[in-house]
Amino acid sequence: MAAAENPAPVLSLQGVRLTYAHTPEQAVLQGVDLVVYAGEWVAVVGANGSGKSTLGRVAAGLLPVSAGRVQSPPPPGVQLVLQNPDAQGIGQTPLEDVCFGLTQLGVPPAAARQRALATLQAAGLADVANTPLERLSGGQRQLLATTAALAMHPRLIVLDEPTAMLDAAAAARLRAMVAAQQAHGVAVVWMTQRLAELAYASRVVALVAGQKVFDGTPRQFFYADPPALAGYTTSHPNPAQSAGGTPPALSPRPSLQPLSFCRQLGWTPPLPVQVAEALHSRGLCCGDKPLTAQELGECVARLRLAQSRQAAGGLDATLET
Amino acid sequence: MPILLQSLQSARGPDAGQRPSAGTPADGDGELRDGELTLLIGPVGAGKSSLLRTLAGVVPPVSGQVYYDGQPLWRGRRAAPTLLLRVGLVFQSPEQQLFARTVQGEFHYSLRPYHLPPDLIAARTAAALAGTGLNTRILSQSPWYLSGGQRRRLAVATTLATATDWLFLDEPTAGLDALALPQLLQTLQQLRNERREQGRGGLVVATHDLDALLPIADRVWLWANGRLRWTGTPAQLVEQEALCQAYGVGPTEVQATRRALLAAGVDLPGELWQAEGLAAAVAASLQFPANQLPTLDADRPWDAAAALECPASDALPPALAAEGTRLAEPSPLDARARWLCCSLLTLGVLAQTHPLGVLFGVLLAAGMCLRARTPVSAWRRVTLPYTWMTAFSTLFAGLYWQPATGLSWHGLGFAIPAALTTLQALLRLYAVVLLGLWLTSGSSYLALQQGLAHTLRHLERWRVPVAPLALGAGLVLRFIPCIGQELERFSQIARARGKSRARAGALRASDLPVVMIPLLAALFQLAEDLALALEARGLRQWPAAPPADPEARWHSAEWRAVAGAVLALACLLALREVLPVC
Repeated sequence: MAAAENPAPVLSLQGVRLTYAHTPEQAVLQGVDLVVYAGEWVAVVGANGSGKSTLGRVAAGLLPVSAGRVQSPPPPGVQLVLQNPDAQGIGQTPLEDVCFGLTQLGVPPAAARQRALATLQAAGLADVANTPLERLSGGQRQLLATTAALAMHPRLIVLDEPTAMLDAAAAARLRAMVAAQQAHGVAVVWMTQRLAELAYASRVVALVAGQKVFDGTPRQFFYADPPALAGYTTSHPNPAQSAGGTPPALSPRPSLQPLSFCRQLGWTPPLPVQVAEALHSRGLCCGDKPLTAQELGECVARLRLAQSRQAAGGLDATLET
Repeated sequence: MPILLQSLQSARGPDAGQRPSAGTPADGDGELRDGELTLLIGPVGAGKSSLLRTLAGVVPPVSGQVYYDGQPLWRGRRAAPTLLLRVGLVFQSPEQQLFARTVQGEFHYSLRPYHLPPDLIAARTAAALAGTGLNTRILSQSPWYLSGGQRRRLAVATTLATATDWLFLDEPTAGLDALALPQLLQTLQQLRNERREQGRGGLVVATHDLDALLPIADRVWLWANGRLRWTGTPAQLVEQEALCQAYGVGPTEVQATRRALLAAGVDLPGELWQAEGLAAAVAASLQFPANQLPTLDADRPWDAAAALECPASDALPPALAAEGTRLAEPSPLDARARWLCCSLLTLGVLAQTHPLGVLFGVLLAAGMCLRARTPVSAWRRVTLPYTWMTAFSTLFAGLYWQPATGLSWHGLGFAIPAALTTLQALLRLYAVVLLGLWLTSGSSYLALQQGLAHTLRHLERWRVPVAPLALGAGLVLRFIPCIGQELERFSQIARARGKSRARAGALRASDLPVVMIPLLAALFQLAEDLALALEARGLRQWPAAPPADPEARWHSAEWRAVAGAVLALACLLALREVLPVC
């Protein structure tokens, strides 16, 4: 991964605390550590009011923190995309909207127009470059908000529930666009309520009441084994970060089958994971912890292959005797 | 009381004809059965919300009719009042609709059209609060001090308290977290079961969260381009993968999982689509291996996304660059020229003192708007209220009453000169309003903002904050259309909650607080969101004046326009001298 080549983190939060003036007794973020490297896709999950959006705004450098250290790229280097596509359009047409940010950067108008057109082309929005925003669908507008952010060539893009108002097709298009940028080394922080989207992430961070309670891979989040509360370790030379400690409310319940972290939080995992769980409880384990439908299919196929080999082996053994 | 739809079209789809036709018959006919939870799905902009509003008697359909028990709901633009009392609508983001001083007040408003005795109101209120997990202790509190989640539950509770046969919910899962979702699903099932036991009414839920709601649905309606495209049971929908993909609502998680398992050679009956059943099918297929094993490319890495190449460099392929110049057609008239023309003419119009001069100014401004092909809707939005105001003010200004003759109609009179003076002053302003319309209609506010900043940039020498001023002006122009949209949204909510019998689109005077308080809150929210969006786009400090666009040279069109404006100003000033002072 690109992170290995570039060990300096793009975003680094250390012990970040944030309290609003009108509720001083209640911290929105309670000592959160988070390090994001170039080319990483970090998905942040948490219930409403867990501090997810606040974390996004802190990461984007829009909120001063009460305590702790925040290192994020200076202004155009970090971009924030919000949930509501209606409130984000600044220009009247997609072309103008993308140009707005670029001209604020000081790009000369002609060059800005060319760069904007190239980015719109890549996002599949070239056909509507001059269509008024109110005639675009919600999906197109959200795609545009992301495109406008990506046109600034950020090192880090923070997306706060970007697919919450989109249908399946539009959400898939948006994810594909962000994934392409991730492949170019852009770091992605993706807040979401849709657990199926965690499959696209290289890392999952879970927040409960302003505390980081999980930091690990999607597979560690959805499957119990290895122990879910184990600290997050990387191959990076400076693994300063670790899981934010066991929250008091989340002690794992005693049960025959260890609960995955996702289940401990009381959330229902996506269907492919549910099927794998059900298979596991029947004693069928395919070992490789599928996250998506495709992976589940491959896992089942492998199970069937192994079984037929076993059957064939058994036959060979009988023949030999 | 089943609902029948006859050739109903709920909205004119903006993307009509773009989606492939799925070859479904329908033509807008459909039936919503009693005791069922019907899921309304479809792409964004399909007209799902419009359909719910049409069913609830808030917005008339584009065409077609809705029948409750054989009775037509719509007569022209009015909904049948008796039927209105039997339907309830929960809007999207319902937490924004609260306006009353206390929680109790919210219930009183929603229940007022039902004319219930006080004890029944109390009973219904308590039941609705309990049903949404709220405590009756909050009744005397202000809704503004509740948390976001509580406000949302309260808004839903006010609709539930009306105990209508039919309940329509618009995107109830939007903004809900994974923990609140199971509670919502349970509430929805309970509401459906109550209606099933009563034998009348049901639920219609518009959603794009198929994965969450499909398990509790009885029936699914696929809605696109304002019309019903397909209907069937959830199990049938699961098998319609191509259809779902064609309309952008799939593949759903269930469909993708089923397809992967089928590809792996698992024998799956059609009705199986929940985790336990699927796992059982997999287990069964392992005990009795099929003759044919699937081909397995084991170590294929999972491709996170289709590669959507985005060039990182500024370089543009030559073909695109050529196309770019065509796409990036500049606005017909440079923004600076527009500002200049508008300022000159405003000056000339304001200088008019004679009615004929004012009339000339109005005609001139109207002619400019006509030539710029200003959309009719923009004209109407400006002209209609202004005409009413002018008519009223003129009449009022002309009225006089001579107390000498005592309190009688004979004392009342109408002074034409006084009325004319008012009319003239208002007409002069109308000409200025039209000039503003011309200024904003031809080019975008962002271009106007940049034109203004560019024109005034020399003032920066005297520490005039030109760029912030221009940005502010541009944002005010951006904000104005939003006010109209939000006003429309909250009047619809007021109509739905108050069971208004007025013509669709009209607003009762008694509903004004119901509309204005949430409207103001929503506008503040919008302004905050916009400010955040600006900040998020990197606008942290006051912007520097945008650099001059070397390509934005004035062509002959701009010079001609400015020359025309100067000439018109000269004419207007001459007119002022020639016409006698009135």
